[in-house]
Amino acid sequence: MAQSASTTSPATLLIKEHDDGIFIARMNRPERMNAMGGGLREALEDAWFEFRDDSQLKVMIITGVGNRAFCAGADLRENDKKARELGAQSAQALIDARRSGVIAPSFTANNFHLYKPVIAAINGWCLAGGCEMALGCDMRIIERHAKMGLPEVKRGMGAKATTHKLHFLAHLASGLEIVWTGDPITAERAVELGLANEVVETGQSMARAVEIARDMCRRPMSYLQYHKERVFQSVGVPLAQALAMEQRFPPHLGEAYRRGLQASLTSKLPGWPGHQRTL
Amino acid sequence: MAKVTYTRQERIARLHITSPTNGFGPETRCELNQALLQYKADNEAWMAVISAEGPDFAAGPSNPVPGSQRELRECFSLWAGGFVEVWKPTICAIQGQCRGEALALALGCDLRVADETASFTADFTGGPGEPDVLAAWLLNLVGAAKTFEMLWLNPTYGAPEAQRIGLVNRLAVKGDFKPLPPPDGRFPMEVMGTTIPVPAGDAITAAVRFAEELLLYAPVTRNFQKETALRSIGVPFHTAQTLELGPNPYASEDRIEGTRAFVENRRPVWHNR
Amino acid sequence: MASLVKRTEGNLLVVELAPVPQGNALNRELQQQLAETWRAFEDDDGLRVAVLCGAHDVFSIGHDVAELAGDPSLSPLPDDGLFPLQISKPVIAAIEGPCYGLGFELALSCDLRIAGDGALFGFADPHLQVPYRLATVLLPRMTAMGRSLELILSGKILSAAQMREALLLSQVTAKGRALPAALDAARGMVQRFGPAQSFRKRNIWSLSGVPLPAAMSLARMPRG
Repeated sequence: MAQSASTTSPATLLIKEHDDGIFIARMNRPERMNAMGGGLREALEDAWFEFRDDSQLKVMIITGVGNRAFCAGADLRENDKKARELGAQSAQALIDARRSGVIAPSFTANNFHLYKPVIAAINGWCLAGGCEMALGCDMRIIERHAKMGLPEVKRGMGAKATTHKLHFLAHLASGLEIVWTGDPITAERAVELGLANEVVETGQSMARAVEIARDMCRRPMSYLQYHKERVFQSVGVPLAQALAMEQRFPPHLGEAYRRGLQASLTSKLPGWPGHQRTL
Repeated sequence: MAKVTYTRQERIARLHITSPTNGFGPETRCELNQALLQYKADNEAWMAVISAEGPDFAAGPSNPVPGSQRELRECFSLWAGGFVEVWKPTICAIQGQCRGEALALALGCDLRVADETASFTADFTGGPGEPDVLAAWLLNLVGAAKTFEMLWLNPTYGAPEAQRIGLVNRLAVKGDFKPLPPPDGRFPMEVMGTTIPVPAGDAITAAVRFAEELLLYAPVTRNFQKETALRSIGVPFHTAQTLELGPNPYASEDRIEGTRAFVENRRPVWHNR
Repeated sequence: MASLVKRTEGNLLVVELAPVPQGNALNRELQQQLAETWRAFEDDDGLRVAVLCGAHDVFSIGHDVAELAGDPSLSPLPDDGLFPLQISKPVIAAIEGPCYGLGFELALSCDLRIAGDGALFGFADPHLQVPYRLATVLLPRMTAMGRSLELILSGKILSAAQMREALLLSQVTAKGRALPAALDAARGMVQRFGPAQSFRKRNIWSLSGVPLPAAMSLARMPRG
């Protein structure tokens, strides 16, 4: 059942749209390259909760409006201003303030067990916190002109939300090189290193992301959730232990399995002409 | 006669394996471990370049020559200590053949710079008691499938293929040095390179140059990133996210200096704290 | 009806999945035969490396959906021991044509993969909602996280060349030449690793997902 509803106004920092199980969020703060200030961070956090809690939404796509920027990261000017308002111990005070309050869920940190797929459609500059957000998504489609980078090292900052997963995002050595040089990488290099899934032409990342999201939506929610959860639960665990986890047939997948079985009898599989799967 | 020398040029520690055949016997391994621990203790050194003398990184026997059991145990604990517990960068310069135990050494460094003569071979023979250190690094660098391929089929990769699969970061090529950014003004935004041009195209000069480029940026951040990255291996995903590891760059003086330098349009002066 | 064809060549075991008309679908009987084959292979001191392939131009299309649909009491969970992952001896998969679903998992659970041009890999059937638990464990240990998630969640199909780019495949041969190449590789392995030497398969896998200091200790311990 197609359902398309958009909320957009000139003042909307995050343009949201529901499209038949797909939740599309477009960052819309182009004058600041979608830096996460002026309420954009809060809008993203609200969108995270909206996606998690709406059982009609299966896959999320995050992108930026236009061609220039996906997201340039934290709004440094705004953070600086806040830090000065907090006084002399500004750096530590900001850290403490963030820690003492609710740790905000975010795509960056893959946390709060958001076991539904999120795709980043990288339409332009994807830097620092913006790159961390993209790397916290499950897949990345990147436009040919776009660049990804973690320049924090040039300013004495950390990129902590990504460094603990460098070894399986791509592989260890490239990850260290990227965070130590702070240089952005091209779209092609991102795919070579495994940091992005596919390069598309300028302007095409959303269309491609929607195609992939539709492929994912052919599967029931229970399948998507089960498999994403299994992946994140088995990483960073010795092999034998990972294999021993969760050996039963997951009960919540049972109904979807039974319903799908009949349709599967006549599935057409690429390169397999004998699609009649009966003895 | 020392098989490994340790010298420091400003912020760069130079660990150089001098033995003519580059055979990785127990003595060389132990001296190298000592040198790494010396780097760890040397607060003036913020970056290390590890290199070997001669046309090949390792031309000698590539399989570990066993020493006495006690020697092995001591040396091995140093090896783990030297490679895994030094929370500042190590860069390995590789020319010619890099195989077997020498490959394990090279992979224990954080980054690798190879010249066009470099080649990489596992030379794993599965002998009884053979250390699996090479496998431990390969699993984290190229993934399990490629690990078995390298250990069992024993292909030899040239430098470009090694770069493609994740064994090598930069290729040393012949060319003029790429100028470092001017001492004033903000850092330029340039795409991450795949090569390091140096006049002779040799790996050692290129590795030192790479170290100089990296030294432009914040040491506290680098060290924090290394510690976090390495100590998150083998830690369940959600736990790794919440680990507080190493110095906190956000609480460092260098972070304030970094922002201030940006605002004042000048090069930051780092203090590693 | 024979579902598995086995032959030995020196200390190599060659296992061929059949029958072709059903796409070498891994029905209950075939799974049990494979499990029994790996057990016997492990126990046979005369055999050192195995090569697994499919009859003619198909590796396997995965689950036998007709069998599952015909008997609701059957669980789609794979038979214990279907996968040679935890035996001590190497298995090389030689893949032609479709390698889908449970067949893809079976191929991933082999230690090495060699494929002919035209081979296709992935969780191709969007209607089949079975847990691909082994894939969730193995893929992130072999290739980038983003690729692992894309394969499992979106059902993307990869060509042999794409599999090689993703570091999941050792070699792409001309179509129809995967088995000879796999046999060559297996013979090379047996020649390089003499009878007193071990492939150390279990030792190596035991280092996966382990913190580095512990991995270094394990690696340096002389273990048979």
